[in-house]
Amino acid sequence: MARKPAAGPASDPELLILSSLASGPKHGYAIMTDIEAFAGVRIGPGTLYTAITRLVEKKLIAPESASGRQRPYRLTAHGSRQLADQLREMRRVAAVGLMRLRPA
Amino acid sequence: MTLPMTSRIIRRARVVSTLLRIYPAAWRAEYGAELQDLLVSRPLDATAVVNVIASALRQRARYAEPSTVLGLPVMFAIAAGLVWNIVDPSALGGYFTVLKPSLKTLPTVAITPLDGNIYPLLQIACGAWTCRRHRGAARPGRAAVHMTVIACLPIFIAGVLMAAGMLPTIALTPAGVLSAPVLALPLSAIYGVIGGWLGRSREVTSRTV
Repeated sequence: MARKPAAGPASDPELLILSSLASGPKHGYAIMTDIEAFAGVRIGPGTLYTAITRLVEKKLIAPESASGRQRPYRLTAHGSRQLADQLREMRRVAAVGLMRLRPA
Repeated sequence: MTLPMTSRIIRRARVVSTLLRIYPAAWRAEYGAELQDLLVSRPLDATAVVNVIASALRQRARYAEPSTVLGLPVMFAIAAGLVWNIVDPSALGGYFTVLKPSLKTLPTVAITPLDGNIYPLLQIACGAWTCRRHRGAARPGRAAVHMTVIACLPIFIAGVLMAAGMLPTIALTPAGVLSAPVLALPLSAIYGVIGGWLGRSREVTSRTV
């Protein structure tokens, strides 16, 4: 069952949206259901569009030409680099944390 | 389709369009249709409604003009001061008196918060901020005037109520109270233009560097 976003980098709506768009362009509803499926996090519709607005302004994602009312969004090259950097950083921190948790 | 289901759909569409109206018009023009479709296609529970309202208010704050952002706190301060002066007339003449007889010929009534050193700085900041936000299309003088109109809204209302006899006249005359904000507008425009000039020159400096 999907849970509400908890505090922490893995539940940051912007990071989740970027991760969702890494597999290809999606519109708002598809992003929401994809995040629920891969992260188990339910993002509210207001939170989703606040994050989309910010990501478009930062030029990390861009809207594609729409066939209907729902516009799909795609990851830009800058967004792709930013996502890779963030995930690498998270992996590095996670690796250190897990290593320190290991019993000596 | 049954009648209750139709009325439920109509009611839901009405709730969704009301929620969308909370967003700023510019945001709605860009994302409104998508969000509307999303809200219609999913169950609209109380959590989703609260989430959308919170997001709309956040967008309102982000899209607000500098004149509104700077004018509103001054407006609330003036309104609070006026209420206090009316409720407790014994404090009149003291430091927190909002309306005082002016030492100049015009205006006959001085608005104390506008006469201090901070308000002109806020108007200059408003002009500079407007210029930086709208670049070439900015009208910093008009923005500072708009800020003063917002800030003086309680004075206008109090003046009208004093003229109608619904409020005690705590300054010289209701006409003096009503004209005081109007006479403050030209100076606001000048401060706004100064701010705009500062904003523009800072932009040119940063571009050169």
